[in-house]
Amino acid sequence: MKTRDSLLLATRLFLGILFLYAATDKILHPAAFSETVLNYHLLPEPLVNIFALWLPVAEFVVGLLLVAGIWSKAMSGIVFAMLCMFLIAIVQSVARGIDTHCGCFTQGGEGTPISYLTVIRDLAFLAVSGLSLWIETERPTWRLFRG
Amino acid sequence: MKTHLIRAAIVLAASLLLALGINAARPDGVPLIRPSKEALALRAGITPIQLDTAKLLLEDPKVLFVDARPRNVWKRGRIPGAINFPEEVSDSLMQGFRDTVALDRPLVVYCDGEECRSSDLLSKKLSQVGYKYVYLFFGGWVQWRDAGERTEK
Repeated sequence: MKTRDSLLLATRLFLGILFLYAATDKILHPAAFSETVLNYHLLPEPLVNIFALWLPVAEFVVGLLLVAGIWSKAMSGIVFAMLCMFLIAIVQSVARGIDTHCGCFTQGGEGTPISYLTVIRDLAFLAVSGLSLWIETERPTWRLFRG
Repeated sequence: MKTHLIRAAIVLAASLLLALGINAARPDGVPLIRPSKEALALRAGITPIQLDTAKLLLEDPKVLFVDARPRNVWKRGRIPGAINFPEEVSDSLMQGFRDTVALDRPLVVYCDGEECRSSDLLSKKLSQVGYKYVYLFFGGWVQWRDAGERTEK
């Protein structure tokens, strides 16, 4: 297997599984995730629930397609755009001193409150996503495995 | 490029339809339009109050004002007599609070104001552990201070 293919496979699987993992708890606890979205103070209140329902399902579908390598360039683009959106939400919360939890992977106020460490973690994910988008070849994942 | 954008749009639109379908099918689905904070509080057994009611309740010695903001902020200024019960550490402090404050004592919970969430969260927790009369003052510290009401440090 070529180095580029190995790198592409690794970034695809990492981001795809990351999105599947991130989506699961949000899908299981829609009311708690709605609270999390509200706490960011970025959306008008009437739109919060629709967004909180849509985002995790989109994360799940995109993660699944990315792992499978279906429409992978488009999925990589969505992952990159979503990570940019998360980064903006986190940075503005930290900057405004909003006392909230990230809600990135678990809901219901679990985990540590957002901080600059959350920003650094998201920047690292964004870097992997940027690399994935750059080297994406649209080859299905099973073909990458076969080399 | 155009093909990728169309594919992305298809996936995002399909996800929205799927999300709405899942939500409609599940028993714990949420309403598409989020109810107001007041409606949510009432549903949780909490009474939302305005400034005028908060002023009246302050005159009643049986009522305890609970400040859900962090301790350093509470120290800089608060509604007279308000005790500090920071929401972010409320889980660890709850048992001690229950041991010292009777469950039938009326509580007025507040934080900074309309934008903060800690009073919502704390009032829900207090209601869940058995406090019968929980009032939520949405206007909070900012409305109280801006109205020129008495404060203490």
